Amino acid sequence: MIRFVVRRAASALGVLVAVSILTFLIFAAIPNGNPALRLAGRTASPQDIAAVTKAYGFNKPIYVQYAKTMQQVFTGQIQSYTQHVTVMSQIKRGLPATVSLAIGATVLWLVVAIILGLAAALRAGSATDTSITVLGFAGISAPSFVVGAILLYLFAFKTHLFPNGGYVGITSGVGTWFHHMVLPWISLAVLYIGIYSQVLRSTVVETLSEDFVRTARAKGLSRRRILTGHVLRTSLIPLVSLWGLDFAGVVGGGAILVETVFNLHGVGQYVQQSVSALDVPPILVTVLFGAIFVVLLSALVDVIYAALDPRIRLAA
Amino acid sequence: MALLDIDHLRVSFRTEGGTVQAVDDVSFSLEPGEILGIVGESGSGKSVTAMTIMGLTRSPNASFAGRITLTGPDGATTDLLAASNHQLESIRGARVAMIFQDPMTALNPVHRVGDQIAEQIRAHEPVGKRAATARAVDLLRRVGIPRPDERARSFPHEFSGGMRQRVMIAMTLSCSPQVLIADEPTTALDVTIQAQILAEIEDLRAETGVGVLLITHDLGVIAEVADRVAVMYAGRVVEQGDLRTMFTDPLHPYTWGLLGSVPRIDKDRPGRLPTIPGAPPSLQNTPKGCHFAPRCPHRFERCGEVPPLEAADATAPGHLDRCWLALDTKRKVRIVNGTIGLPAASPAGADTAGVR
Amino acid sequence: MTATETGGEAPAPAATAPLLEIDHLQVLFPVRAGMLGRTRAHVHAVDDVTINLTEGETLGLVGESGCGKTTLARTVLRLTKPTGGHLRFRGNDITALGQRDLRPFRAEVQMVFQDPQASLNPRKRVGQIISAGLALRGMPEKDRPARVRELLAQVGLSPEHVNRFPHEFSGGQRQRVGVARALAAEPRLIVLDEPVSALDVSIQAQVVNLLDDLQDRLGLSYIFVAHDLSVVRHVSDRIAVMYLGKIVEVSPAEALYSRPIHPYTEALLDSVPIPDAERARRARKPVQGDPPSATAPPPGCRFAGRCPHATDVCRRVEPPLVAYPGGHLAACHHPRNVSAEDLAAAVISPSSPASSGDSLPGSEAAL
Ligand SMILES: Nc1ncnc2c1ncn2[C@@H]1O[C@H](COP(=O)(O)OP(=O)(O)OP(=O)(O)O)[C@@H](O)[C@H]1O
Ligand SMILES: Nc1ncnc2c1ncn2[C@@H]1O[C@H](COP(=O)(O)OP(=O)(O)O)[C@@H](O)[C@H]1O
Ligand code: SF4
Ligand code: SF4
Ligand SMILES: [Mg+2]
Ligand SMILES: [Mg+2]
Repeated sequence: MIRFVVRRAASALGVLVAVSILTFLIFAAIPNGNPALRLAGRTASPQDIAAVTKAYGFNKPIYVQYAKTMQQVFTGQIQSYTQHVTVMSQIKRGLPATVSLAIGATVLWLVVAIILGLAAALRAGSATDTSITVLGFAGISAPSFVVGAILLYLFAFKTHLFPNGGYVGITSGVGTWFHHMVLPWISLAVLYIGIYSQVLRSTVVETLSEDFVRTARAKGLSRRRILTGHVLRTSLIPLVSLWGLDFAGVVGGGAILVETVFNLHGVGQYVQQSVSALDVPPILVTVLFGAIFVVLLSALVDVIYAALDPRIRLAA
Repeated sequence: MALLDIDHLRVSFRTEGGTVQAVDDVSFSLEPGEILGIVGESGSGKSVTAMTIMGLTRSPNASFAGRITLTGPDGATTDLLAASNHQLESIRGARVAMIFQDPMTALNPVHRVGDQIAEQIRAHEPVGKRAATARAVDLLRRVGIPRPDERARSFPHEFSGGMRQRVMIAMTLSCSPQVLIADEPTTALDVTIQAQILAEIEDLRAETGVGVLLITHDLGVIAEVADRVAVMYAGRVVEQGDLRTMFTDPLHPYTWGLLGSVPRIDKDRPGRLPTIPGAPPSLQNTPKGCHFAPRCPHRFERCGEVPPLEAADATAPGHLDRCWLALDTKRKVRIVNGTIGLPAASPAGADTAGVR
Repeated sequence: MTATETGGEAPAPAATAPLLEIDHLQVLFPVRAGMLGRTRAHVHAVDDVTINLTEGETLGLVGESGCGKTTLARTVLRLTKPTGGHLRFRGNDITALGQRDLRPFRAEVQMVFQDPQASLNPRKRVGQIISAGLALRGMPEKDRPARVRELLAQVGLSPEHVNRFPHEFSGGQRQRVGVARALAAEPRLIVLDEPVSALDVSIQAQVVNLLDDLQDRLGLSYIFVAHDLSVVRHVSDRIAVMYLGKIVEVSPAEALYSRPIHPYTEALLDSVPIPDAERARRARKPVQGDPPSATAPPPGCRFAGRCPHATDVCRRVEPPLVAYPGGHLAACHHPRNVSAEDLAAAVISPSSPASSGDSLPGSEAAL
């Protein structure tokens, strides 16, 4: 198992290096004037420009530029073109909102999807199953910003049950924080509830026909025990890998639309603003940042996976 | 009263292609300490019969008729077909236990084998996890798993097929059942391992007096371990009797065909293997009357009616068969080249021969 | 060295050149592990196997699951690449031929698989499946339909079945389709990997008879892989018993059953249940345990861990394949059912693996 973890970590590192090279190449390729000029700002002196050029190695071969840029990224010194503050400080500011959104939404989507998926699988072919499937596909096809806009319209503008967007830190009171997050959570979760419930439904249906479930019944186990100990336990395994990617995607700034609709000032919204301003450094950093999350979580997922399924460990 | 009594059992499944009559009027009984072999080709309804005893075929598409009576040590009887799901849960694994054909898939791959055994013990008895695991280790030792305390912590994929089947046997033993149903327990195993597992089942029967329902398609396995035999064909029992009679005085043409078509290592090689022409019928569309009629060289008009399962020879009341031919005719025609087999063509006298 | 030197390994007339020569063939599969997927060990699937097949002969191949029967069969067809040794077909070395050069050989050697369900393309009609073999022979397109019908009739199917899909057949009929597909290429040798194992007894007998008839009519050679010893006995002229990648005994079919020399063969035969209630039930003492891992086969005799006759030498020295009179070969230090004369006439066979010892059973060194 330990060897497995080490191996997985090493391959994660490799993927990260590859992603960083790729994003750097995009950074270098976007034709947006002299990057040194842009980094140094409009009021920069020739000395400032020279300093930036030296720091990023713009006068050096591309691999030096890569190394120097990465150094700037990882020491947190890289600056935004438009705002002239470090990108890191902006991301740090946006992170609480984004993490709140991700954690709340993921709890919501996992709980609801497991209940719906299980209910549909256990009544496969019935009206319950059909309605859950229809709802699931509706959730998958409804864009999250549309869901968000509708929710805002109904529950904020019309009825004032919930605040009209914005993020309030958890330190200002759990109640207000929660109140502000409910609508974003739902908007983001709808899509994943649709996907996860359908995936779970099909794996549960498949697992139910496995020989070992028949054995469990032949042992005289109760229905509940069979469902939790044998059916769900194995059916959740594929969900784990899905979840790792999705959760990491949201934390890494992937919930751009929901964050923007609800004006949460999270990492996603920062990405949105940078893209519309063609502000390349934040894009570079957030892509890297997102990639780090995705890679770390998928490595973590593989380890969880191996813990859940002993056959994987052997094959590894 | 027998330990387990199956009385006119019928099981059918509604499917897209129509109704499948998987079990069609099956009756037999099992005594304590007895090994009853059920033999038949694939699709003849052996597994459905076995799983119905366990209540494992219950589903909205399935319908049942008949009675399955289990008699307890105290003489109390339960109809397993009419029992509630809750009642069944307490009987399965505790009083009636089952081993399946494919040991590769019958165990849950993500749980340790010791835990899987302990789980069953705890489902039926109020014992702690520790005690249950200790008993699991004892059971593994008893079925001949080396280093059982270590192996109890292994996962199924770390065992060979034969060892997995031993684990399954250990599991079924855990609550000292009255009835053990073994559905093709050795079909997926090598002959050497098959011999080990059959020996294990025989030992068990001798030690615990459990009644065993041994399902197989291998007449050799039957001959080695069974006390009595029921031959199934297309959802029906076509012949039933004690082991010796079934091999020396088989009365149903299908049984002759079965006995004739197995190549044997203890006899001279025949030039060609005797065969049964054709293939078993689809259970969605079984022939009216005798199910074997389309393949039977001896069929005559009467065979359009369903023959009853009854004793043809009054002196052998335990030997039942389902065929309209007269006893004398059967004994006359079944010899092919000096051994029992299904004659290739209908003998001239078949329709003039007396019927019973 | 040729087979004839050893006192006739093949019962066929010595004048017939072997159709297929399997010469010290070895197939090792790497077991990869570690961070870089380095090869940690090898599965010894087929480990130094030598045997010949003459034209018109049926060679049975038996042994427990995982002993390398399928691997040997696939390697003979060059579907798996051997890691050592040679394969010769009609005297031509085919061990290292590329796909293009193999083409004439591919038509002459065909395979029928165990699972008739899985080995036929479910989306192709039976006619198309069989035509593929005709194409391999280079038959012009316009002649194919007639030949397909002929082939269907030859395997006992109705020519009307050409447009059916495999799933529209029963198991036994599907296996007939598999045989027809193999026959389409007009092969000289058909390798049959457990061709009847998935079939019911009554259907199994039909397919076995079909194979018999075809052999008589077309003069085919068969390699018949099976784990059912009764079926193998029925179809084979000669039988090779494999254990963990090695051939442990080769014998004319009848002699293997009447006079098994290797203790493993004896154990196998003892385990076969006999469908006869008259026989007194033997006190069953099945051979204990499972075969050891093919990744780390034990030194010496691979059966030693389970063998009731094992002695010290068995665990140290790999027994050579020894040729006894009557074309009977066995690799055991303590052979069963051999007379003093047999022992006196015994010689070490050239088929013996390179790693085996060089002392004959009964000699001083073997005790
Ligand atoms: N592609 C492969 N890679 C690694 N190992 C393999 C491969 N193919 C086969 N083996 C191993 O080689 C050994 C021989 O396998 P093979 O399939 O030839 O056995 P077999 O005698 O045909 O068994 P069975 O009776 O189960 O069909 C086994 O240990 C198997 O696990
Ligand atoms: N759940 C089911 N739904 C529909 N048909 C079934 C079901 N279970 C079994 N059958 C059919 O019942 C028949 C008998 O099956 P089975 O008892 O498994 O045969 P076997 O004698 O090989 O054990 C087969 O035709 C099978 O396809
Ligand atoms: S003789 Fe008639 S009743 Fe008897 S098996 Fe043949 S068809 Fe059935
Ligand atoms: S060589 Fe020894 S261990 Fe091997 S089979 Fe012969 S007697 Fe047994
Ligand atoms: Mg079955
Ligand atoms: Mg094989």
